[in-house]
Amino acid sequence: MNSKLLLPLLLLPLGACSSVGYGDPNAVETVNIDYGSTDLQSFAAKMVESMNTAPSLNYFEHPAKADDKRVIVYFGGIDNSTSEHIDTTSIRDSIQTALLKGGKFRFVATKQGQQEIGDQVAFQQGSGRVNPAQAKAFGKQLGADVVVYGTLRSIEKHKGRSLESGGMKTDDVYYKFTLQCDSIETAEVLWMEEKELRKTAKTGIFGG
Amino acid sequence: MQALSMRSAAVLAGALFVCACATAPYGPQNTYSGREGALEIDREIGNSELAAHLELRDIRAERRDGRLHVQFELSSDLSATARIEWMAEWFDERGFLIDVPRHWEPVTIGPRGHHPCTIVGPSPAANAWKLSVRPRNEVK
Repeated sequence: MNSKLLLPLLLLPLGACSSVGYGDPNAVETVNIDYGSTDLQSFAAKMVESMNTAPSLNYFEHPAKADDKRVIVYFGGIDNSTSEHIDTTSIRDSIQTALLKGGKFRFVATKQGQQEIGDQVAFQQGSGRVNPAQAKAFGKQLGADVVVYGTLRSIEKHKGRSLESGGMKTDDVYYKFTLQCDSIETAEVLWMEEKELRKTAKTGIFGG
Repeated sequence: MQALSMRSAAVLAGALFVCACATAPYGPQNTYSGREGALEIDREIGNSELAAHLELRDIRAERRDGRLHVQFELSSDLSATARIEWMAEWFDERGFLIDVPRHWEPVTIGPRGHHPCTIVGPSPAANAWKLSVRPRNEVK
């Protein structure tokens, strides 16, 4: 009878704890080898620092510009060339947020923003509900000087368990994030930066 | 004999129970603060063991193109690999935090190795910095 009690007693700790809590969103995360929040933050931080310190992006001359010579940026897409499903707009948002707060650049709306603006202009012009004196019209948007876009790539390697590896399984993933800035008028590449990350997971016999 | 094994099992289960609930606390951290033009940096040591083996040295700061650049080197005298993380915060002239995205950056320093780092003020207003260093505290 006592031995029948033994097993449940030993299994008890397995279900002992489950909890939900708020954590630090800035903490380093290594839940698994897949692309994660720390990778996003590292990529964004590197690109922000590089763009903020690039002499070639200090100003942009154009006859139609007044005193404010800051570079006007259209932030295009970031291609996901990895095998994972990654929402790369999140990288773009993080970079744009930090750059906007830094004050060096001006930005024009992305495709999503243009869609929203288009809907709103159509509403203001065509619904008859808006005071005509306050209704906004097209034709006064800023013209971007440069377009920023990039690619996230990865190389994955896996090594199965073997006697040689002592039963350990190895998963390795290398990420390379490249971002560049081209002049819209001349197509000249004005700035380019890349950031690499490597993540390796070694899993023992009883690991997942 | 059977009573003894039951008691051992109960002790083992109890120990496992405690371990199952244990979560790694945030490790105490060390902070290093500097200001543009100041020769000295302030050290706030919350983790003396880390401070005994990990040094922040060769700190240089200068303003380039309107932004403060700070370069430093994290140097370890440990005979094993040091797995740490650091985070930089920036303040304006009046000491207010400049609110930009920030995060803990993981760094692995080899035995008796060093890791050079450069941080750049997120805006021209940034003229003071605070660097926090702590043992790696990953969300696993």
